[in-house]
Amino acid sequence: MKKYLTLETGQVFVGTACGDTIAERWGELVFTTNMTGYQETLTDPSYTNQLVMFTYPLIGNYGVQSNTSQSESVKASAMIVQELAPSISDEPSLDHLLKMNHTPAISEIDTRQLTKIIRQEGTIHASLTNQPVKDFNTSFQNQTILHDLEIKPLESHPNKNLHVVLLDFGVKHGIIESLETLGVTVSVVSPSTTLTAIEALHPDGVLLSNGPGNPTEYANSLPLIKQLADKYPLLGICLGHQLLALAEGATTYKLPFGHRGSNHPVKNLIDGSFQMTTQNHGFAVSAASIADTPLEVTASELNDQSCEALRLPGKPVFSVQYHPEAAPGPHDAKNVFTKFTSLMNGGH
Amino acid sequence: MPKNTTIHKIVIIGSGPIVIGQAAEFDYAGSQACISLQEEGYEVILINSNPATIRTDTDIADKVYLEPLTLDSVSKILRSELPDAIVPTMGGQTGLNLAVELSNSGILEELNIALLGTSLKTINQAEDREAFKDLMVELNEPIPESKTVYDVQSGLAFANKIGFPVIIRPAFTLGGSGGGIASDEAELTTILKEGLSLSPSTECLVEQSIAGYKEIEFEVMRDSNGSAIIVAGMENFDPVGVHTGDSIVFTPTQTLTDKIYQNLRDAALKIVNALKIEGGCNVQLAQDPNSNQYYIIEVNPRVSRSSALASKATGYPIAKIAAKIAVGLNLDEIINPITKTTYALFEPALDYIVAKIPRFAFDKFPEADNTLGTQMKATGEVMAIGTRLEEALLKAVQSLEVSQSEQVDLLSASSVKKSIAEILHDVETPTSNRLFDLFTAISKGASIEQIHQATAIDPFFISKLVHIVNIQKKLLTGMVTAQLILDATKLGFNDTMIRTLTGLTEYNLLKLHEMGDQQLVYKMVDSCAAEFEGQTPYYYQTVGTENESIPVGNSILVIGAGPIRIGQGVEFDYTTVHSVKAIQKAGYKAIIVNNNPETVSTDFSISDKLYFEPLTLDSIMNIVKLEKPLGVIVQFGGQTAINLTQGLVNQGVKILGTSLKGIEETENRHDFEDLLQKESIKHPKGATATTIFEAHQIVSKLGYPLLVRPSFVLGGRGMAVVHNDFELQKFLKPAFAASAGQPILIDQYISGIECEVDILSDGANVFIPGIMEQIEASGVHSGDSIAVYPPQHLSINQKQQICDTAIKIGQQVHCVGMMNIQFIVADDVYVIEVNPRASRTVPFMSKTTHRHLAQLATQLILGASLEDLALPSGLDTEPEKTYVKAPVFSFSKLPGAPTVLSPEMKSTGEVLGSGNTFASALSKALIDSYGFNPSKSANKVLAVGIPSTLKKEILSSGFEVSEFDFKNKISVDQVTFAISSKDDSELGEELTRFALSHQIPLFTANDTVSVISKLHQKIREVAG
Repeated sequence: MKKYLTLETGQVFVGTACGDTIAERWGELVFTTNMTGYQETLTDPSYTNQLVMFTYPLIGNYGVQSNTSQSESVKASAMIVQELAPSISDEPSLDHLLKMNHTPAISEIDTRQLTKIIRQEGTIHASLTNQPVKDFNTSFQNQTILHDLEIKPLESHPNKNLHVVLLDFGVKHGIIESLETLGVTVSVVSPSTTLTAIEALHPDGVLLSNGPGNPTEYANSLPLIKQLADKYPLLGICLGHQLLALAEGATTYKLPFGHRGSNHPVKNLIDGSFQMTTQNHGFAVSAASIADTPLEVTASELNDQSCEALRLPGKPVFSVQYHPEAAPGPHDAKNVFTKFTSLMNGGH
Repeated sequence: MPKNTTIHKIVIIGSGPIVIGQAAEFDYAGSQACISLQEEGYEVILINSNPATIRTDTDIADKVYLEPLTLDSVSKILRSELPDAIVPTMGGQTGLNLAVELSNSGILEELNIALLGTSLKTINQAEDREAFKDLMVELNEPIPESKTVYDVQSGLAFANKIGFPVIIRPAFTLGGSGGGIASDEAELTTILKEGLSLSPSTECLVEQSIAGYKEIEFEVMRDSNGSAIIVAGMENFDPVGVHTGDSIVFTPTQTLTDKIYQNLRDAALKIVNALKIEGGCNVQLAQDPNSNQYYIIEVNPRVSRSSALASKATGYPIAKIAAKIAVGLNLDEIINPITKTTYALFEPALDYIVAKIPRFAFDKFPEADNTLGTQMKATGEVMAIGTRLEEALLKAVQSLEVSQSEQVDLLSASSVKKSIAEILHDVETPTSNRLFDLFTAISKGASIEQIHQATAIDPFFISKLVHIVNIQKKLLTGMVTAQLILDATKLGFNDTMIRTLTGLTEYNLLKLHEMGDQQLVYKMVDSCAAEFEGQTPYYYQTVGTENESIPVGNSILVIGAGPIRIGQGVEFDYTTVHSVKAIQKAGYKAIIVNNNPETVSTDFSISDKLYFEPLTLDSIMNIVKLEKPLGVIVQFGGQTAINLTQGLVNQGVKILGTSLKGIEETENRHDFEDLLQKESIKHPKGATATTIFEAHQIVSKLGYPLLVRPSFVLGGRGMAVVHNDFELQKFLKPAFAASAGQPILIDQYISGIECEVDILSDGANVFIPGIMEQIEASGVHSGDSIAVYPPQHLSINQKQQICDTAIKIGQQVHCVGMMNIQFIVADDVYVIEVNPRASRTVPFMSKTTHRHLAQLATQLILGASLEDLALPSGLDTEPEKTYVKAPVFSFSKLPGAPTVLSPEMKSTGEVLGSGNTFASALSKALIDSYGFNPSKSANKVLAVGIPSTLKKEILSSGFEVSEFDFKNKISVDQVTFAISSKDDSELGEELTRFALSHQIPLFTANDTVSVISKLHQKIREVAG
């Protein structure tokens, strides 16, 4: 069965329908250069409302694994691949996972050509339909972001362990797991939770999670974040990093076509060391805007010099644009979490 | 750290001659390193004894020493050059071992020479078994448990401690023979008993078996700042148990989840950081397919065959970057040469799949043992790039240049008549032929599960083979639709395969292609999956909707030589690269097509455009149709390129240089005889036979001795001298089998001195750079004999006659470019063979005459005359120095293969020795080739039944001859060399095995020993 990928620039790619072959979608078309970890990628809430294309041509080789998804369901609104590996055993296949989540997909696409279009045109919208579209169609509805997030119920915790309250803008399971591996108890709360309610949980620290979309759409959360940063050790990851920057008075901008992949070199500006990081973001913090804030840039991307990490001097507050939890990607930046626990323990 | 400015002059140690396990990849790495260091402004001195290499060109390094890679010889060079530093990690194991010797000798300290890159301590830590074990324990990284045992009892005790199954590896046996896997005490007792008795040191290693695990390799780069990256993760198709050099390999990894991949990546980086590697490093790991358990197999703290593969597979030039790290630069300071806007500190993202298949020499040596294990046996490899795994695999198969049945039908001739059960039983033991056995089993109906049970190969890979066979069946029997053709093309079936299966005409197939949604296009290899704009002129063919390759215009296409095999080695990479240089100097754009990842010619910075493609008519025609080159050059790609000429001409492609007619006049038996007869050139009488009956008729006319060989072959495959009916019988069958339908040539065998010349011609006049004389009598393949230039035993008249004949032939076939002509000088001068192309002696003659012969030939091909190039007509002036080319064999890697020198070529490499006399040149050449060092005090010669005349010669030269016997215990220290020149005696075979397993220099032709004996006194004086 054929499927049509229509770009807002007018180009049409014809491929084979897979996943949910009936469903149709519209949204921002993004590419990731990850060669492994398709399951983690597709279930990452940061991809909400995005049509995710893999530049690596063969996706689905090892099926679907337990304890691997980054949320309860597929979050990408559609998948675009060159080839979807067929199922060769009784184990659940990627195609099956997509079907179960009503996620449409298209295969047999020249994804390299598509990547080059995105690289040259910048961020682009596209639709995935069952019939050719004459005029580019924007009538599809995006899912609203905040209301759809799954929030774990609040729990009270023994105070033996460090206790982190995580503001969930669309958190990846990997972040929670990374903290739990270090013996930290995590309470996941909605970003609309009040300061009083958070205080009542007596956290040792607060984590601002990753999440989808443009950070400026989260203006409502900024005053709370500012208050939390004054009061608790705080770590922001990805969207959380951008929100901390906004809360402290910095600005953000849209990157030409985003950073999505697990091969982004990040330079630590404090000690000159480098780390290979996983990234997934379309927006970035303007490094120039930092000058007028109390923040300090502590890391930057080697190739485009974009802002990769911030800290509030004198306070146990920092944030990273990259994903220290990896999932998928290299584990090189796991020290972000140990640094966070050390700050919560009163270290520097 | 910015680059080191306290050093100026750097020595790079080469890897010496090509042997199995250490091949052309080090020429690639070494030449990249030289270029890279020169870019940074350093003076680069290169030491290597292998002339057939690009890096021993004086325009690659500032100064080249073609000298033996021994402590003495290198120390002498260091004393006269007084360099500031040495880079030891570009010369394989040879380079590392030499660096250790130099360091131990104290000369580095004395002369204040720094070792750049990874330190000796690190090298030792990675290479020394015990040191490595200790480090892994310290890092808490798992390695398979192992213990060296000298008796059965301790072996049993250890196995009971760690649990079965265990692997038994006898020490120092030929090709690791005598080993095996034991699942219980009884099996262990049997194997261990045999292993201990076979091992010269009565020593076996008992090791926890991880056979069946997935084998994963990482190529890692690390700088002195501690930044470390993975250039490529590679996954072997063959599970642990087959040497990675003999395995089919895919990159990136295919069956690893991100979690497992990152676990292994963490382990690799942890080790590389602990070792403080500065440069490239290879880490091999084994992953349990059923759990998270993994083991570290091996770490190579240097550039390697795998790093060459990773460089070509990703576009990331590891050796080039490693050289810059060695002089102090960090990864974040080095610009990524592919994008030119990003840095070398990143991990390549691929948007294609790469397959590597090893190339073996078993088609030449059917009697050799082709089972695969931990000892590498492949002589070379091919790589292919595709969007689909099946496509990459099939393109790699097309690149192998194996039989029609394998390459087009994907069937193994040896298993086609067997039952599924029989084949499944066969494939339990990995062999060089296993891929085709698997295709055959699948086409007979074997299931994924059955094959997985028999081989432990991951079902994912097997499913890809099944997919290929299914499409093959559809093409053979199904409805041929545009969609089916597109599906097949996506899987890598080329038009020849599709037409063979479907019977479609060329025109109809073209129409069906045009009806498809997607077409054959070219994509760029850019290391970043198009995320950044690439600048690399490096392309592969695949199916898609956008073609990225824009014709360069004003171009000339050079066809490369494909995988390295015995008879067609790195020499042709050398000539290909030089041809490209000459094309560029003449103002044209040069395009290369080749498929060998180990070579310099497939480095994207060498040509104006590189197509990494199979060397088939299909692939080349697709490139020609797009690029529309001014012409195609076939003279530098060995027999591979010559064999494509006819097909290209048929399709209207313009061949530059000697015409197809000229090529045929030398390659086709009848045309060639007519030519010689017309010019009254003497040649051994002979005839062609297409059946065994015909052969016998010819034999009765010509009488013995005779030389029999198939036509259109390289390296004398299937060729032999026969003296009687019995020997003839023995050789006819394989000769007919090797000739693929072409007739067999039967010639009189003439005993005399063999000589050869490489000529340059503009079609009218002929220039002869020099005559090479072979010291073994006719009957030994020219690639295996020791050659000397200038000749030592030819009269002026004989030389004149050789030249006159060469000129006549060159003029008659209107040779434009190069040609190689071989002679026998007996009562008269006889012509025995003409190769209408550059030959394997071109690098040797280029280095000795200081003329870039392949470049000159290319200029002639492009229209220059000899006069334009200031080349005289006739023989060039002979040099004062004497040069000797000696062959290098890899016998110890190929147990069962014949060793006695014959018309069938056996050597894998060569070395050059130079001196003021024949004796001194020969003595130098013998060191790195036969491993014979005359300055050693040992003087016993081990022999079996040698002729009395030879025995006298040996004795009179001061050696002692010791008849080899099963019973005699020989003290190896006293043996200077062994001679085993008869392959039909059991004792001879035993001596060969003994010499190879004890690393005693082994000569397998009486003539070689005769010459050495005659010169021995002089050689000793030179060496002593």
